[in-house]
Amino acid sequence: MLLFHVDPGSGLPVYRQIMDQVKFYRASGLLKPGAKLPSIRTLARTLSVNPTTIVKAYNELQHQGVVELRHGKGVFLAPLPAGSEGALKEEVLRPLLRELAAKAAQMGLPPERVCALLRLHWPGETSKDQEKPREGRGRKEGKRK
Amino acid sequence: MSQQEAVTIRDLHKTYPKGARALRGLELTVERGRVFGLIGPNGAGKTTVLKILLDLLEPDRGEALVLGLPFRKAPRSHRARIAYIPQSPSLPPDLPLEGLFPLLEALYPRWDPRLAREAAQRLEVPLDRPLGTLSRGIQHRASLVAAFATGAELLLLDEPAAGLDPIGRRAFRDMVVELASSGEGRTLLISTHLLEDLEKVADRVGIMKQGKMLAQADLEDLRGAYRKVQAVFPGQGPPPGFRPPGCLRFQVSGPVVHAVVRCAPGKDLEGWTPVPGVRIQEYPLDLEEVVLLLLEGKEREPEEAVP
Repeated sequence: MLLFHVDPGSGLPVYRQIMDQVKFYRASGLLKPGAKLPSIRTLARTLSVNPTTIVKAYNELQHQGVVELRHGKGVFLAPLPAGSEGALKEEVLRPLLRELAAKAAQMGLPPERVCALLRLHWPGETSKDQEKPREGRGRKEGKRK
Repeated sequence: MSQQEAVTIRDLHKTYPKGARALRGLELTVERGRVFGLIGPNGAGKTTVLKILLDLLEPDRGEALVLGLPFRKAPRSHRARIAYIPQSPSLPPDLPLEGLFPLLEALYPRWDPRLAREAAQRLEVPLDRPLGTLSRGIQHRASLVAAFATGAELLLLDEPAAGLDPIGRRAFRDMVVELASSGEGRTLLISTHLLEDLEKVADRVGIMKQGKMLAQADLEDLRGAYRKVQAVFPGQGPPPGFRPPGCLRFQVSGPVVHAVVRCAPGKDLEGWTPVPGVRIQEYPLDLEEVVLLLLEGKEREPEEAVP
């Protein structure tokens, strides 16, 4: 079973945190269409959250066409609509991108500069620039500890 | 009276003999299958509510039903569907927990001996030592073990986690989730002033203050429903009359505005960028802050003033 994690203090409803994780797993290919998701009871127990919260997350995901609830069988990842892969990835990233864009704009950073910075921090990326990649790798190693 | 309601309280009033007004027209509905958290500061009247529900106290007026009946008029078979743990439970000191099981089995037709042993193991309560020789905390856990195993449809727990250490709390939360996901429609009404014990396991909360219900809501609807906003305006500050919709608090100090805004999760703030160059930061409000906000917000409304 893939790891699910919730932070009750995060200010985001727990059912939305669960939905976001399922969507990330789907967009990243860690969960393939047809894959079985943990049962309501199992997930409630592992996360130690009320089962109605899990029900709410799964119902909402079904409503959005992300999962299928098959009666008596369980919860399964729905087939991907044709050509939707890019859109799914974008949806997962959207809140992060918006936050990044808003913060950068408030500090007066132009989009081109933000793109360059993104490239710099890309996992495993070695830039043609001589100085920056070292900084990038250093940061990454720091985070891994 | 709907069979969907495990607890129904209407216009409940109680003044203690020495004049303390514990309840002032309390309204409360707990649907079956819910894990309902009754929260509020000390002295809000939470314990009084539970005692009245079990006919341990008589209300001045109003109605209090458990599983559709007032406890006083309920036959023994109906009472056996309800279990209660007071704030400081008193257990027979000479009996070991194991010795208590046959007594409870006789009282509760749906007693679950397997669950009793499992719960004792999980909450780390020794089965064979006289209860009087155990510490207060362990005695408290013993009473939780007993209550969980009664098979009761309605459990009333008064500050169940207050005497527990972190491991005990975790075990308690796991037990609650277990009961709630058993699919048997068990209802738990849990009173507490410690929100953190509830914020994952409860699905609905009632916020009490001074003997009244300020709000009843699904926990997930409260979480993420409010945001703290800081806006820094260029120049002198916000334009005159600037007040975006949904503001619960709104403070201007120079060019900076601080506000608490009601706004559905995932939605954009409305009406916050009429001025070019305004810099806005948003932060989520955690559940504790939301509860404090509700507790203080209502207090300011004049119609809520004590008559």
